[in-house]
Amino acid sequence: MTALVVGVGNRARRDDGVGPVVAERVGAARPDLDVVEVSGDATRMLDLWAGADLVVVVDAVRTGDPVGSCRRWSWREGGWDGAPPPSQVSSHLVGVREAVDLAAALDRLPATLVVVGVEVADLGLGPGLSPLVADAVEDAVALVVATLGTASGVCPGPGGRSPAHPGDVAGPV
Amino acid sequence: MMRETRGRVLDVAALARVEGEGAMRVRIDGDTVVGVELDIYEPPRFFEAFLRGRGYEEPPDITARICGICPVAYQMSSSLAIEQICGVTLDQQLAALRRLLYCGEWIESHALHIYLLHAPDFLGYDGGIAMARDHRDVVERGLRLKQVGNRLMELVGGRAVHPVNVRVGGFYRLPEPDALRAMVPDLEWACGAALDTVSWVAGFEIPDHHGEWDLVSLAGDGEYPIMGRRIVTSASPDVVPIEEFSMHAVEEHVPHSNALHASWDSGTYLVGPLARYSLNHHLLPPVAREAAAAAGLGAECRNPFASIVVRAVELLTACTEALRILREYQPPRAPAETVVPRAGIGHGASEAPRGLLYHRYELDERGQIVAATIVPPTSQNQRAIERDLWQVAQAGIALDDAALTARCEQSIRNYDPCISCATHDLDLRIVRT
Repeated sequence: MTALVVGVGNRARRDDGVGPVVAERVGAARPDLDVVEVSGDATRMLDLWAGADLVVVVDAVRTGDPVGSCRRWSWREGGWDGAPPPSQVSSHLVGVREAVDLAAALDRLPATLVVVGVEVADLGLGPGLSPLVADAVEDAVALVVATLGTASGVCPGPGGRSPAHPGDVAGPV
Repeated sequence: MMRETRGRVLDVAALARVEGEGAMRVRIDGDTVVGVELDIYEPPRFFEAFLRGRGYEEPPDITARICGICPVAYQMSSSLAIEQICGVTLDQQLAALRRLLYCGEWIESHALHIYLLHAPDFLGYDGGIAMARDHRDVVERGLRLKQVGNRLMELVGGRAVHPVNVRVGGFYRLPEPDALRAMVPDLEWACGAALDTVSWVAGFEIPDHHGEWDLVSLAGDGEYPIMGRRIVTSASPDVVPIEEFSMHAVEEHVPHSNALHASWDSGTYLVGPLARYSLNHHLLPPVAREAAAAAGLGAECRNPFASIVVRAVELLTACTEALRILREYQPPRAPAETVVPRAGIGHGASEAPRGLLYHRYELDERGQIVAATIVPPTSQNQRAIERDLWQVAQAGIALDDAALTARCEQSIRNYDPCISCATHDLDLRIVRT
């Protein structure tokens, strides 16, 4: 099975860089995996995941959960398993959810697609993650690695809470 | 969101199809538009401060982070400025490779904007996803065009987003000639697809509007302008060296915006496809000039709603130019020119997909940056966008709320504003009192 990890975000926009940071750590831990960084236009993922069986996308999200919380959304059998992930949350031109919806409309989704979101606080200018988000990186890495090997998982952020189930997410922000 | 003031308040959702975030407010009193305010927050100011004290070789990497859509523009304008200080002139083939890389960015950016962001406005869809369900083949063509641009950027720039192969003086490594040759069939296809794109958008119903602003772009030096050292305008026959950019383009604070507003010789001005096209029509490749004529464009275009057609003509231009460069490519003698830092002031300018991007740097004798100035295209266009939106809103005052909102959003997208170089939440509000 071919797996791909995509870190979405801009490292020059504080917490928006959490996706690339997590993906980079996953790549260091699992050199057998294909790991890429996408900043700007998320529709580029459609080209990147062509031929992949399993794709894990890591992105910054704002759902109202405690900052640093990690959660996942899975696309199964033609739709999101539960509520969809939030729409565009930061400076991406076309957000992850929009890119997935576009891929679905064009039948260009991988067999399994999982979005891992990290709740963020600061999308201002400059490098570096805010403390709670930086503390959540290892949790997010573990969630991605677990996702690559198993089917589900949710981790609470520092001081955060686990949603009732993986699909139990807040609406778009 | 709804916000109540005196009288009726029109709610308009965030402008998801404008890159980045920002705020636009249209205030209407009875049958009269009384205020239009575009409020953006400019990261270039942050990056200007961030660059001070850094080494002369760092601006291409640092400024490429400003925008995920036009990193090459930032890399090129900054490299050109530093190279001017250091007295470096690029080998002709290195310059051609840079133009090839830049064509990749134009192809990627223009294809994305035309197909996924702007065309849905003309065809009555909420966005590219809804349009894809009914026009699958068309959207697939747009995505494939975009992919060709991405691959060019990867091949020459090293990575499609935030290319890492660019350095002051040239590149870290040269692309493999075989890999470049292998792109020829893709560019041949892209030229045909771009021509089809012009025909496709020419069939759209284009609202009538005449923009009342001056046009400003780089002057082409025998070819359609992408990088250059001279500026032309519709306001004057004089050609302006980019060293004099700041004497003409004056930025000032306005009360309603965090961003500086620019004027050219005290007048409102526009940069971007309409300006490039109208001031350099004679430099279009013949196939693009013929396609423009067939699409009904004259030698000048001042209708911002027709920018989608002009952008398609520029898409064809970029594909044609990329194919020409690929076919004529001879490897440069070295990946980069030798750059020895020295004290001085340098200016660099290039045509980002959205318009002229100006950089100015001052280095000390050790090559450290003493001062940096970055003037992106969207901030230059702010005043023109506001003026147009004012006129569009006034002309459409009789439309119902939903139709007027859609027309205003379409009007903003005419400029492909790159506000992620910029801001949070582009939230358009129309307030009627």
